Amino acid sequence: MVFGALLWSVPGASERAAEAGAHSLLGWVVSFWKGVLVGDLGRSYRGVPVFEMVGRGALRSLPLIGAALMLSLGSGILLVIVLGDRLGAMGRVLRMAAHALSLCPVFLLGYLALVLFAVPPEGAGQNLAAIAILAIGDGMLSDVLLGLDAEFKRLRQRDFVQSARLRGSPVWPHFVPHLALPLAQIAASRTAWLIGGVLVLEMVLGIQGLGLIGYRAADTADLPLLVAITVFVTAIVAGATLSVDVLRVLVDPRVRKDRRATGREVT
Amino acid sequence: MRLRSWEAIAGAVIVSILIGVRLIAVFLVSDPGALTDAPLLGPSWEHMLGTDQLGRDVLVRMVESTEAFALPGLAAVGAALLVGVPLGAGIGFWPQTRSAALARFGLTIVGAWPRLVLVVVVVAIFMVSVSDPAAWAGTRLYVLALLVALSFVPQLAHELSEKVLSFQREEFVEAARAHGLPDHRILFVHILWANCRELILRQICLLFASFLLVETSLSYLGDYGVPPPRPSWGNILSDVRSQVIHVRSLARPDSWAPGDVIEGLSRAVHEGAALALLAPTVAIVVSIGGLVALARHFAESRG
Repeated sequence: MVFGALLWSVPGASERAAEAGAHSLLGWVVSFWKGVLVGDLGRSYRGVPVFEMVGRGALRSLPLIGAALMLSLGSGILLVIVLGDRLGAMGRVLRMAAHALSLCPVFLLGYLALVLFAVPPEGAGQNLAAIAILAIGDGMLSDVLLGLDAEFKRLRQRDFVQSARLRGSPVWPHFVPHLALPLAQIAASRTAWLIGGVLVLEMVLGIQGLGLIGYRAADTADLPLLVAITVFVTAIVAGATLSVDVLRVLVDPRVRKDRRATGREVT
Repeated sequence: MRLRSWEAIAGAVIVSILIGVRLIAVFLVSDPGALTDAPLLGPSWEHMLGTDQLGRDVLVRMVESTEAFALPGLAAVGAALLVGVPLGAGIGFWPQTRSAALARFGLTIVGAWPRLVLVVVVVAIFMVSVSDPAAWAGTRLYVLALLVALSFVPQLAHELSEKVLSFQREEFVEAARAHGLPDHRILFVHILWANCRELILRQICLLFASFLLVETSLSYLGDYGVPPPRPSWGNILSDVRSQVIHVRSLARPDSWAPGDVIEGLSRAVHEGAALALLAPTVAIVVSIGGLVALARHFAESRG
């Protein structure tokens, strides 16, 4: 509603909404949410159905975000857990390089990739470059490394890991369920950053995804499209946070137990 | 508050240099838009980082670019502290109240908006709403600062509330209550000042780094950041792009082979483009790195 009021304040917005049949702010917000329920978000000011444009952009951007998350978590697991102490000084140098590279903003990495390595304007080369940049830039890789590092240290000191070690049995089966939740938490907490990163990177590399469509919509004050994209990306971030909460309940029996106990107390 | 690691010392040195450079810009630097009669000069005593394609001194523009994030960044910090600290402290100190539940709900909603999306959408609305966008260029940076601050408040308030909540059962708090000290004194003096300073300082460093990131990103993209000819590290990079691509293209543009990249770079150095590319790149990365290093130091101290 607050966001709707902001958009309503744009000169000409109310007149355009009136042309589409909504004569007040409340009417406009209600008609938008009705449209969300039936899958019809109206047309952008360029005449293209908003639902189609958002869908097309999401199909381009979401795989990039997903792949970047996987790549970042995968390299984090490789550097921290699999190789861990085995690489010695080389491992430390690799991790320092990863932290240093991760300090670069996404736009800067995109820019350097464009001017120094002539990333192609489309195709697999562009996708790979975008995934790698998103997986590293804006502190992504650094955050993943630090998060995994802390979690790995904590787990190694736990009694069940120590006892598995003393028995000589493999510790991996014990690690996996305990790492699932921290990994999901890191992924969820970085989703909002990645969406921001995609927005910038798509502008830099010219990828026709949600970011570029949204940026153009903002530039031309295409309000129906702007609202739809904003609501969509906010829903993705909220969905990521919610899925971590669900995973927490599934993975950690103590949470289920606590909830049941709280339920009994309340009733 | 001693600096215990090399990382922390490096962070403190970088932040001090940034402050020094800003002071130099305020008191000493000449007009960043002044044109010399020689474009694309290499480094010399007169122009230590050379000149850009219009003949402007790159060093002067680099130093003057600190204007784009210094005061607006401080404004962002001030606004975030003004809202985030009372909210976080209140939620943590009185967690069961209806106001705390309402504040938590509001923070969740604001926190669900990706920072850059929020900034771009609202700045775009601002730009469309004002009749003469060019006249509002300076104000735009402060709108940007307020939006970055707003998007940072949930993170600040959340971390602070968790910390304040963790002190509720501590002996010193119970002792203070037993002595009859009022709640506001316990909260502000014994909890916030004595035990949450590092956390707040850490958040200040992260917020400033965040603002720098958003400002340079948007200035590079062009429409919502610092408008040319006012300099920003972001728009200096943008200005030099075609020049670097041109120089790089002289040495097999489609090749990723290290030899071709190095040849392209050496040509760029020779033609004065590399410094204009390198200077803002290094400035952005080192500044963000310094702020993040200091933030990590504060996180490890006690926060």
